[in-house]
Amino acid sequence: MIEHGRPATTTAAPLVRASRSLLAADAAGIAVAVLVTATAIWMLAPAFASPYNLLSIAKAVAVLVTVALAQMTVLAIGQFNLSLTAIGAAAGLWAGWLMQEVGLIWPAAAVAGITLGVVTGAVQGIVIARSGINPFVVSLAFASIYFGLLLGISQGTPFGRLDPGFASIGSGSVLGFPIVSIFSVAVAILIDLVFSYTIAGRQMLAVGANPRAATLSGIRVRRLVVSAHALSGALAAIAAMILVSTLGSAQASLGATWLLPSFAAPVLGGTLLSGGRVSVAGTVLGAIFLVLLSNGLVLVGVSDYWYQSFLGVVLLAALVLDHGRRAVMEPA
Amino acid sequence: MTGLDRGPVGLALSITAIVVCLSLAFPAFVGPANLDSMLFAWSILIVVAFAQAIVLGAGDMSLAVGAIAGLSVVVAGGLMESHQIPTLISVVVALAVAAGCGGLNGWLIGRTGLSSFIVTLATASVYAGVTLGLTSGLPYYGLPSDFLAAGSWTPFGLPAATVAAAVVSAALWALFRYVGFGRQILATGSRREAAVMLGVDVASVRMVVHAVSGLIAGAAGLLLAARVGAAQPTIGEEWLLISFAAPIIGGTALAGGSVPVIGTILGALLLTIVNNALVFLGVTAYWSQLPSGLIILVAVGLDRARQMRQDRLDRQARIKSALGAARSSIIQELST
Repeated sequence: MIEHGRPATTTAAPLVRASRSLLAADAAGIAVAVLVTATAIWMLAPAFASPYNLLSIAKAVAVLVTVALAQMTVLAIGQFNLSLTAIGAAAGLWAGWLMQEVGLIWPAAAVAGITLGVVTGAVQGIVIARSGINPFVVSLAFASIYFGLLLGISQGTPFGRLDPGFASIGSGSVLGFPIVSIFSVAVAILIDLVFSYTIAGRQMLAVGANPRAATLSGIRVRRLVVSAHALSGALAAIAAMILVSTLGSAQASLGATWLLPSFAAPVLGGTLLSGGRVSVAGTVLGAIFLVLLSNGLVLVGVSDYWYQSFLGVVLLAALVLDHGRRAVMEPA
Repeated sequence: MTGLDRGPVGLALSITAIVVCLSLAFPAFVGPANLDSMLFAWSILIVVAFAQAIVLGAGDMSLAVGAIAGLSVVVAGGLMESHQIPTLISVVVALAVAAGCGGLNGWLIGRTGLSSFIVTLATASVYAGVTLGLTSGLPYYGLPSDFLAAGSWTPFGLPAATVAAAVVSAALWALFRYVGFGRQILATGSRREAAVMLGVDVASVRMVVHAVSGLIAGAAGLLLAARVGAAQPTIGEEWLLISFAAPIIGGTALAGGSVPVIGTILGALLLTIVNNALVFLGVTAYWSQLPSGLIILVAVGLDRARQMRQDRLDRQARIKSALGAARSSIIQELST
């Protein structure tokens, strides 16, 4: 997978080359971190390499990669999606309800779940694009609105009697690879193609890099903002489908721990919070790193309660290192 | 220019209308028991809201308000229960820890230039993890009697939390109105480059603002713990939305530069009344998140619409005066 830089102009070829090498360094850094962490955990706790543990890591990575890509898509346009946890939970419960109470087969329920993700994401995007209200506030408000709606309608009921076929997808494997892993890799490649080869993807990056310049060059910014949020909603819903299929049940709390990792994974992989630059490969590696960290702490015997602190420290360290590196590489 | 002039009249009117309707429909709404519980909830919410509002005024945000409150509660609880440290010292240490956590946020933001969103997202996770790690998620129930007495203390017939909220409100109002540092905070929020050129030490201002925010958040947590009678590590977990909601409904701009004190107090009151009304309307707690989100959108949407109308009127006035000037100069030209 390749890295996606700010859209280049022909006059800035050296700049593009320089930024390319910078981008390469981003993904290289996180790749090294993943290798070192994996080796360290393996040496400290040989149980790390047991097939059972590797399978549980693969499942967690499949979910987190998709969640991280959901956030990355909105980071591309320079905005945040704080409601992706609520969108994921809503999509998961909706699909679970359709399977348990309506008796829908799983492919139909999954499509319905993802559709709900697209719709809820698009509604948020439309309000942001049309109202001109601060995107952060809109997203914060929608997180609360969607959670209120999904808890109010479901009354907190979980759905555990799903289509058996759905659970067999979650636990199944092809040629030794878990189906959910293959699926999340396919999703990542698709998102990579969107940002490298489609006009909409390139324009989203242009909007994120400089919304004013994007507007002046004739890009329909509002439409792209809606598209980015709809795509983000779809990905959050897909993550929920993967999680529900591996757990075998859908509950309102399914996205409760997603928010921080959704930002941490893309940032660790070199995606800019200010927009205009994303890295699918970096985001995937960032997600793998976070799952390894959580898994390693459990194996080493650190209480689960401290995981949050580790996560926060890692994110801070990555931010400060990145900031320091940029200061060194781009002397003012 | 403190933002006090940003008409909280509409907000006050809508609150009055809601209160009149509710008290006509449900006499128990204005019963002493309900008024007491609403007064307490409102007071805590005011304090939480100011922990966020002061940071917003400086052009930053803090996602760590709740996490800092939780940590300070657990520190106080642990010192009092497990180490038998006197209540006053424990509370002072807990508040110092809260101010320190906030100050660390401000230091990281000010020195690195990183966005306050991502820094406080990360530190919130660190603080919440420490809170859970120290306690394994279990509350301290054996708090000393003088700490609990402070929770049920009613100076001037008001809950201690209400007095605290009034003190914080008055202090911030005076800070932004009369103290040079208050103006430096708002300048840091609205015109940072200009503030730097005028010699404001922006990094220090942001550090102090975040430290004060942490202190206020810690106070809110301790007030709640004293009233509840337990130092729960979960205190603050649900504060993210409400800490933003009350200031934003009250007219605080996320872009910084204003801290409308009266507006924030009224915003907190509106949220308190609406949440309380849900109980009377027979709505289950599951729905409780919905109204706050909707109110934020409506409040900010109305504010935005008002601002756009004002911009349009300003533009028309400018065009009119330019045309007038051109006409008079032409007339002058012709007459000479």
